Amino acid sequence: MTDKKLLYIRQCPICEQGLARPRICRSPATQMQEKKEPDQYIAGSNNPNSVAVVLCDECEAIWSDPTLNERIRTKADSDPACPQCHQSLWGPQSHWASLEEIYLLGWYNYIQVALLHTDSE
Amino acid sequence: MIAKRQAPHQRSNFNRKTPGWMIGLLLVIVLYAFAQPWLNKRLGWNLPAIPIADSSSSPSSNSSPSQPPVDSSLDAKPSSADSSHADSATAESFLQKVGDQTFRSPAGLVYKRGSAEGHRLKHLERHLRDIPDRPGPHGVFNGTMDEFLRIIDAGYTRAKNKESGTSVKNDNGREEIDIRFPSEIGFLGGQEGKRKGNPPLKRLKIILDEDSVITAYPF
Ligand SMILES: [Zn+2]
Ligand SMILES: [Zn+2]
Repeated sequence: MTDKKLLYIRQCPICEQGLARPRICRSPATQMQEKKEPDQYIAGSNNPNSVAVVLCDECEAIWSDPTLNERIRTKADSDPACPQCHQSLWGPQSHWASLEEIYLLGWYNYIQVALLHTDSE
Repeated sequence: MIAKRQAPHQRSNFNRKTPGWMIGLLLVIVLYAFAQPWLNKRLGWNLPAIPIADSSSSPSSNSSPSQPPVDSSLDAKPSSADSSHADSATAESFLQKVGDQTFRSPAGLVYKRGSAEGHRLKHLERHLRDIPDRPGPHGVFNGTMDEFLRIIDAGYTRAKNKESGTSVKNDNGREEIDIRFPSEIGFLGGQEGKRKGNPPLKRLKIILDEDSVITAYPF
């Protein structure tokens, strides 16, 4: 049993079950750039080539920003995919955004924080 | 009491002509049954116990009939660890393995890698138990993974046959299937469920990408 912070924007308007959450994709090109200039970037969070989207953790709908006005419909096989590198958003180059990353994106005002006491996210 | 259960299959042999060696053998078995736990405990031996078929002393197997059994093998596993591998033990019973970490159901639904948990089946496991502090609603299925997979198949087949109580919505190549069941299949969990007193749920939602299951949950 650990306390875990779950950062989300709101309940998904499509499936009404999942949570729309900021997700970051760091394509291989982005990661290579960070390896070359490690001083330039804070753990990958301020690389301009990182892509941030909003992803529902249940139905996997994607939006371009936290207003949820614009849907993104890129897919990799049956997975939701990054609109830039077209890799699966469940791939190892992708992760849920941290609070620091959300600050840097300027999305902080959209974020709600839930404390989970269970082992699940 | 134990002696009586020792050899129920031998009871028919106990007529007037039971030979003396048989009684002797029975005596040895009875003595062993009594002595075995004591010897194990006192001397640290590991003598095997005699299996006793007993219907009266297993309260765990027939308690709380109202609560459907939850697969204990799912409970024991940490949900986040080793999430890249599908639980083949639960999958094999009903699903057919058709590729690397890819399984197909009798109705033709495909379960493969994906979702935040690493595999669609891992994601479905989340809907076998409540997550009371998760924001919003969280649909929880009443039953085991095997029963969940079977009801998903049954619901999918009903929707494919356009039976009443089913509807299919299309969203950019993804199908959102709603199936209503005559009785409850689960309950509303999550923070919203807790607020509402965990009401029962009778509907199932299945989200498909072609024949690939993205998610399914009671709602
Ligand atoms: Zn959703
Ligand atoms: Zn990408």
